[in-house]
Amino acid sequence: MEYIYHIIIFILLYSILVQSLNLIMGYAGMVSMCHAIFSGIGAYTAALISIHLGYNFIFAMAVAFVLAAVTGGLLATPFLRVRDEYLIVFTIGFQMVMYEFMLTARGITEGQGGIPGIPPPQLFGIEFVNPLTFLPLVVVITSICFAFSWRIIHSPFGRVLKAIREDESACRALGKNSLKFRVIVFGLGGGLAAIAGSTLAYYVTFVSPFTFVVDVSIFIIVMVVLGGLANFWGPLVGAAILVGLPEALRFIPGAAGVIDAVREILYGFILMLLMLFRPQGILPERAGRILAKFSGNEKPLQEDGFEIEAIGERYSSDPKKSVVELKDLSKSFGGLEAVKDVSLSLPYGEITGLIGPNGCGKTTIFNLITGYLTPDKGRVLVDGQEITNQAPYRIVKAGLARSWQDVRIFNGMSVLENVMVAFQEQAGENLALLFFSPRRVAEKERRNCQKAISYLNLVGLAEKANELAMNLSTAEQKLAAIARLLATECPVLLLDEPTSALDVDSVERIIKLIKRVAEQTRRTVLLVEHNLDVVRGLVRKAYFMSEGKVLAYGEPSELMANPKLAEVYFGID
Amino acid sequence: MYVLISQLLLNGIVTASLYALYGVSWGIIYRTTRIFHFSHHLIFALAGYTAALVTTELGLHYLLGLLLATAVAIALGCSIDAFLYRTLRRLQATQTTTFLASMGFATAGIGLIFLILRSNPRPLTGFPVVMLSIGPANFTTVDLIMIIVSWVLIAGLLIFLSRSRYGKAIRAVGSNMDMAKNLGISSDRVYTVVFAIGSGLFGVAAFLYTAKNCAVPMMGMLPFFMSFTAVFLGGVTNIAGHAVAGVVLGLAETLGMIILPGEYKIMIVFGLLLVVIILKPEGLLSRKRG
Amino acid sequence: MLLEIKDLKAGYGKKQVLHGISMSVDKGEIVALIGHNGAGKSTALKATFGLITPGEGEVIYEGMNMTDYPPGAKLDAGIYHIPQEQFLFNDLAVRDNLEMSFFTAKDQGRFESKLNGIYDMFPVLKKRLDQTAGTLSGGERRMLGIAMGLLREPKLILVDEPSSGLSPVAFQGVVQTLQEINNQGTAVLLVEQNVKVAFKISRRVYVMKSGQIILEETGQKLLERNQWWDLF
Repeated sequence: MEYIYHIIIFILLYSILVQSLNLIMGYAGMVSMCHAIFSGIGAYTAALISIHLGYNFIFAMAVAFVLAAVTGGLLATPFLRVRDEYLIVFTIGFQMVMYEFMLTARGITEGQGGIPGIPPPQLFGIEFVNPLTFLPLVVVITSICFAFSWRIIHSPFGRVLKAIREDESACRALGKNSLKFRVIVFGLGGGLAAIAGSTLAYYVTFVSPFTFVVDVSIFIIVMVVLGGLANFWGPLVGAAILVGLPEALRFIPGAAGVIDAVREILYGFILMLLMLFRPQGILPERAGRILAKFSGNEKPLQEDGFEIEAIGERYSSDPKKSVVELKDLSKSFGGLEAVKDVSLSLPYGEITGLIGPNGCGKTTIFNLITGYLTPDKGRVLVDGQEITNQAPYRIVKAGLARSWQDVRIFNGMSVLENVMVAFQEQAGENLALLFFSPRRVAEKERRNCQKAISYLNLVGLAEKANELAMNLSTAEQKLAAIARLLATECPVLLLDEPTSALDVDSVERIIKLIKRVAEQTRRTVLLVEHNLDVVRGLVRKAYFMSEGKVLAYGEPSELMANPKLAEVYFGID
Repeated sequence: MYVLISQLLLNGIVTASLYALYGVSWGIIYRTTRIFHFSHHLIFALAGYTAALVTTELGLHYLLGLLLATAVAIALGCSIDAFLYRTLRRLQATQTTTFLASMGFATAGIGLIFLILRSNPRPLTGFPVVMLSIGPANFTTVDLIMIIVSWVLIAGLLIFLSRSRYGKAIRAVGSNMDMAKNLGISSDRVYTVVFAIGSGLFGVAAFLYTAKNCAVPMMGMLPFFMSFTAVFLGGVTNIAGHAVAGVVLGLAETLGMIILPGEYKIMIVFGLLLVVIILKPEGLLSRKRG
Repeated sequence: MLLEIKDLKAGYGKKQVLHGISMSVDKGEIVALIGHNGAGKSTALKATFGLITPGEGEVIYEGMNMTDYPPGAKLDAGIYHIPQEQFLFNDLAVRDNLEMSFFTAKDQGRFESKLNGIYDMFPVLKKRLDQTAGTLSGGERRMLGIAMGLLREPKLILVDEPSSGLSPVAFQGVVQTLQEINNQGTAVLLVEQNVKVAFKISRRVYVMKSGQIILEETGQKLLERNQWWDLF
């Protein structure tokens, strides 16, 4: 019987490790090859504190959590800034370096022999020593860790993680500082792993470096993938199968000696086969069911009577003023002057077009305004405030939001989640508020949900709120992207070829929708388009660019009557 | 002190040469295919074991051991691409998925080695080991061969890439895969050649390594780590850069022992990587594209 | 008819860009394909050449159904595609780029003699043989792209916006080259933004909008109009 408890304890401890990796890999989409090391940091920290300082195990585990979280977050930051492959490079390196350290830094870790004689945890006079007494403790610890993970996952913070996983660039364009989120979740995942590691240390009463070798990091990965990435119960399933299964081998005579090797072969093949046939794992990811929570039933939803405010009026102090101004903007690439001394302004409440032949600099201007490029010279002002040179996610806070030519909807999230992730200043994205002000977070969520449904109603996608975004047609995805853009509640919208790749009928629909939306919310819109039907149908006035300069500004009919512009657009002899 | 430094310098040159070889062996694969080829370390191990077993258990000549080790490496490398990676490509798997599949295969493979051959070190027999010296520094024929062979192979690779028709095709695929497709150049076939070259180079390196040390199951892990570190340190696009970065790593690791005790070797390497990533993430030798 | 495209539908994954287009090019013709950016012109060329697999429709070349043929097969049949961007190997030298263009040709032995023919036609390139392609000027790059095509002696060339990134003078050189090629019998399907020039040199013109062909007309007739804004 004790043996069964022992196995359950191991399964539970591994499930914490796997859940913490699930946060990093499944929800945030980052591969970590050093997860075993974080549990090792936890184990060693707890051991050293308990043995040398004699403090209570709860204190020791708390210190272990903080140490692992901070170390992980800090060290990962420079690599997370670069590109995804670099995180693999970093985590493999970190795994190997720290493992060497555990093996050889005899002064701290006592080297290969490890640290024996860890005093058993004590609480209210109970000593947790054998599997029977330890099991309830592990159950409690596991529950706490799982509850902690649950709160994070099913929250606006978790929603941003998923958005980052789906498309980091698009997520930044919604005003989220993706680096901050990734560093935090990497650190937290490491911290939870440390909790598991320290609990293990207390259970077996010693720490040995061989417990945290690279194979273990790989095993944890196999477990998280097997159970199902981004599924909350996946870690339990994965741990149960992959910890339980090899134990069955112990009952085969003669197998005990080769159990390690067989485990490696088994895990390796399972991982390979999973990647080939079912990369998402056993349990599938479920798109957030926010709606069920608020309307109380599965059936979508009624109008909540939420009035879509005329957000554009945020900048209407003087309707004659220009909301956005570009002054003498210049940008060169190598020797090529893509944009030269461009000055333009967007009048309040109007849809302004930006047109011109290929290579005229429209896209460069667009990227300069939205922070994806830094100008060599010149300034960008919103409502008088300078936003030149700011990162894309800050531009959103200044009130400018952009759409993408290639849509960039978050495929793995529901339509409603797509819209809800776009709201600014969500209380639930702040972890402190998430855990200590749950009521405030819930209230904000409810409000945002109502607004989101209203936006979806506006674009005509209300029935598809719970549908996975990847199941929508291209035209529907563009509508969802517009709803998502509206949810940023930015008074200025920058639309980048909103009708590209659509057939004629869908183009008509989008034109009507943009017009209606812009008027109803009195927003200021900049429209970059090549399809002149769209320009004619939407804009009041447009800027005509060629070879990096602004040549003219006027109503489409004026521009098209201008023979000089025709020459530029259609070519000269 | 002079003795210590000159010995370390000599050791450093040997290590640097090996690391340069490691670097280009993985770099040519990554540069051309962008596959994070984790199974590279399995190939090293299998080549090493082949060399050890063939010479020790079967008593064959060490040159035959070299040949067989390289053949095994090439065969395995090409098979992994043909069966695993190509299938994943058809399934349009992401880079992460391919990386994980590669890792799974490598782990299973190492487990198999554990199962069949256990973990006791297997030596390579018959390689002529003669003590040599330059001034106060000592080295062996194995070290000398390591240096010579590494640089001959690296030079050969660079010449092949810049002068030969197929070498240019490899560079073309690595530089602009879409245009290569547009010209009807079969990326599948180019990938096979690239895996053959990269695995073959790593196989020779494994042979040399085993001649000096022994074959153990995880022998390929550290060389693999050095190989991709060199690639990212030097800058992915320039294969000569992989070699240079390998030299930097090898020298830094060995000469670092003047300051730090031997166990912290890998920390030096990791620290170097950390610094470069912070200061120049695209790699030391990569030209910033305008 | 050298090339016939019937009801072609194609796109990238879910994003369907071509919603059923039909075109034809006859031997020795220059046919232009114009329209606003994002109308699907590049996609039309790529789907014809086999870089994208069409979802529906047919590509018939010299009477044979080549809809699902990959680029290699189309090259062998005598079609050559010059993309709008990224049509060179920037890291390789000029000579190496030409060599790569000839890589899958069946008559490798004749490479050197064909190469000399190219040098005669493009003396500028001959001067820059060992220069890295990435360092060439815009006009030289286009010339190299076309030279690479000519090396394969195609019967039909698909050219995507050769004017992009070029000064009017440089573009004029490119246009002349295209006309010379055409005089020697090569048919050209030309996607072009500079529609005036396109109308001038093309016998027929197709106009695309939002993935469909909205007009087919002779170049001459279109030149006679006084405005073309409605085509975009």
